[in-house]
Amino acid sequence: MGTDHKPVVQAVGLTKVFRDFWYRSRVVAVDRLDFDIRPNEVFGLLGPNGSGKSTTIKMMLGLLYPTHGRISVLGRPPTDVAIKSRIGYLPEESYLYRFLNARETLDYYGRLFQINRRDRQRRVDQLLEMVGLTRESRRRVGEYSKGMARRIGLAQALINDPDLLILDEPTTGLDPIGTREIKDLIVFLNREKRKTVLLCSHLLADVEDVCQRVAVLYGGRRQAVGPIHELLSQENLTQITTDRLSEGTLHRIRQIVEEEEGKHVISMTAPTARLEAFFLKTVREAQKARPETSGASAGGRIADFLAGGGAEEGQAVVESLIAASEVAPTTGAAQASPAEVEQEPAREVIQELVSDDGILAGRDDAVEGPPAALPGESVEEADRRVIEELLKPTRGSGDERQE
Amino acid sequence: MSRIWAVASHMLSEAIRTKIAVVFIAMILVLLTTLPFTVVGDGVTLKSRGQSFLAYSLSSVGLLLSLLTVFVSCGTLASEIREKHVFMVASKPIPRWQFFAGKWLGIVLLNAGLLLLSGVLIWGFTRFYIQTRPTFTEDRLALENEVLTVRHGAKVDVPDMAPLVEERVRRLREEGRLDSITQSGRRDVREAVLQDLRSEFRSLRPGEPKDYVFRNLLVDPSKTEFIYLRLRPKTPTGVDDLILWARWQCGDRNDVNTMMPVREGEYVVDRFYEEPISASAVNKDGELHLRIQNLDHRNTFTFEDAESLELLYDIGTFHWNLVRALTIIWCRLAFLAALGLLLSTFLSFPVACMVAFMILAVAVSSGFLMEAMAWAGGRGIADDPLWILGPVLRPAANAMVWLVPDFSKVDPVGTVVAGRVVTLTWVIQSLVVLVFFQGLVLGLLGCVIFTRRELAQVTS
Repeated sequence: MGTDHKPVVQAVGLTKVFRDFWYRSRVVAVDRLDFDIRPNEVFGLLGPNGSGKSTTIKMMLGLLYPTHGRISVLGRPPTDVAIKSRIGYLPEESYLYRFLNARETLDYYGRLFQINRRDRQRRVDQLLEMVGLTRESRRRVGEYSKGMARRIGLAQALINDPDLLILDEPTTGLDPIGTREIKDLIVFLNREKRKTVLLCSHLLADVEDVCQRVAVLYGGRRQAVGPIHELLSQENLTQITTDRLSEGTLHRIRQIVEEEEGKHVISMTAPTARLEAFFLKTVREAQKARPETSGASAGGRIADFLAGGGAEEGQAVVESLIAASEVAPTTGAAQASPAEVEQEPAREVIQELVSDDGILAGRDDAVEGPPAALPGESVEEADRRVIEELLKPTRGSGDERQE
Repeated sequence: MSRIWAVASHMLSEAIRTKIAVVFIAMILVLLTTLPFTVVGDGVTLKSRGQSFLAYSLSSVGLLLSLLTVFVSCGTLASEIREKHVFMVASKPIPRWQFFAGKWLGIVLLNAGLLLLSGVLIWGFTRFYIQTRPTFTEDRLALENEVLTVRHGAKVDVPDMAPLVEERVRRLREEGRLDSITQSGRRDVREAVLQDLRSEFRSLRPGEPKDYVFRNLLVDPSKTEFIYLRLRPKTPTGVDDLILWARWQCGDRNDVNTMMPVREGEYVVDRFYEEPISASAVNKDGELHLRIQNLDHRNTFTFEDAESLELLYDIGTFHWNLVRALTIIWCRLAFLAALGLLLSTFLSFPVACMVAFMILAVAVSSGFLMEAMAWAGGRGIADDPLWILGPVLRPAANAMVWLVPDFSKVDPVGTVVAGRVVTLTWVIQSLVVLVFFQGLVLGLLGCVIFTRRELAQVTS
């Protein structure tokens, strides 16, 4: 990536209208969309099904052409084939050839990038190890579970060590461990390798955990855009985090707040560990006890060509990231400061989205900290509910109409 | 180029692993291994069995591979688009025309491989026939020398007829028989006279002897033992099964070394006969002189066209002839592959298949369709099978038949079966016309459509 500050992706008045056989306008999938993706940032494209996220990505890749407006990628129109050597793309479903095995799949895509045979073999080996499919590399992709197919899809997106990584619903179909690994990888690629990443998702937690800026789409239009901490900040609240305090101290704090500030303390409770971190820790301990598993194993070290340095560096990065998520009970966003994450997140934009059509209603996984309890629900019940949701093997990802 | 190779090798994997090619390979293997034992020919001669085997095997392989090509070429791009595999490929740095070209290359390589396999099997079984015990001794020789060989057919040298035409036209003018005929009518008369003279040249009246010369023969008597006189006599009466007697002798009367013994034989009209002649009958100028006499006292003896009196001689080996024939079949398949890929850039698999098969049917029966349309077009509207729609539809149908290649002109099966040479010129013509011109035009059109279309657009 160059050092200039030109946007990596720039959309101006981008509009896509799908027409029927008689050329009548059938649906406006994207409507006068403006946004920039800056170099070296993780940009989130957020929205419910049918909001135009995938359509925008397809225009970015030249799979669809804009009806009006324009979009440029790496300073060139998407129809320019040369820029695609710098792009890695993971579509919303891994559209893989069922008759090839994982190794052949990666080899084929590597050949399209004209990577020489030796480098290709090396990269294929490393990527397979990274996504935990080395043992399954000779099995036909058609026999893979959705999660395994997702992993191989991610591996093919990284085969060329891209400058711009476009990930459309990357965690769909993955278990919490796979989800965490992909998020860690995104953070690593962005922080250490200064890659630009476009993450398109309707999983709010994914976006919040890794993105620095987001755009929220609804009905094909941009509803909000900006740095994620600005969109989520609640300036009217203050949160203090300390080691455990005695009841007496808590009482005195309450008194001080009321007497000197004239305000009520909304809550003073002991925080709970984040469910994702708890789950990962539990599974990791189980893995140590019984390492054999069918299907994909947990991902290995980051591929050398992506890590750039030694393998240890990549390993250390992943481990430190995972460890951080285990010990920091209320910090999920890798980029967020303690002050930001300890506040109760502001959710105006998201709430607006949820309340508009109810599509995301009940999906509190976007919010950091303990899972929010529904009215009349205890913390334990809330935990159980979220665990069940996390353990769902697959999530419906197909948009009801073409995005 | 490496990207095109990558797509081509992927195409081969797809065809084999999705089983479609495997099914056709199995069909070809079953067919080619059972045909040698099931064909009977005329039920008597080995030569006839060999000819039937060659005819059925080459035709069947051509047909099966045509079906395979249509299915694979119409299916591969349509499936890439339908299953959205193309999203992954189109986001890689490969121009879409290279992807299209890679698909075509993969299909034609598959065809080349299968034709090679078929060719080896066919050649192997012809060897098997030669090893088989014949019904009579000459039978095996007939198979080897008349079928499993490559022969050139030299035509009789026709003298310049122009002075004779002028003489006859002059006589007609003097007799005043052209006075009432227009200028264009006189041209027709001249043409009719020419045809009459040619017909006379090829005819022998009862008892009449006639001399014919075959020139520019590339026969080396030191290497070639026999050459063959191929003849098919007819009578203007049109009577079937009539037996005619003829006497004939080969040799240049100015060179006694070339003179061969006089031979006589009986010939059933409208049947082909091949008479072996010693190669030493050819003189030093590469000419063979033939005197033939009609011994029938009532019927005229005629050789209807140039192919009815030929001199055949070996100019190559059967296996190379087979390779050239298979190359021409490959050219047809390459054209079909380009057609199927073009159609699948904008049509779904079943529709693309239907259109491709329709075009294949037109290509195979192009000659017949042209004749049929000419016949129907020559009638009045009242007698037109298509009634008033005829004059409207016929030009469109004519245009279509004109656009579609005539596969009967690139069908080498009959030539191989007759033991005739499939010339290199024919192979090059097929390559140029079917692959480098018509195939390329279809391919370019396909590339333009594929490049311009929105691959993620739902079209059905």
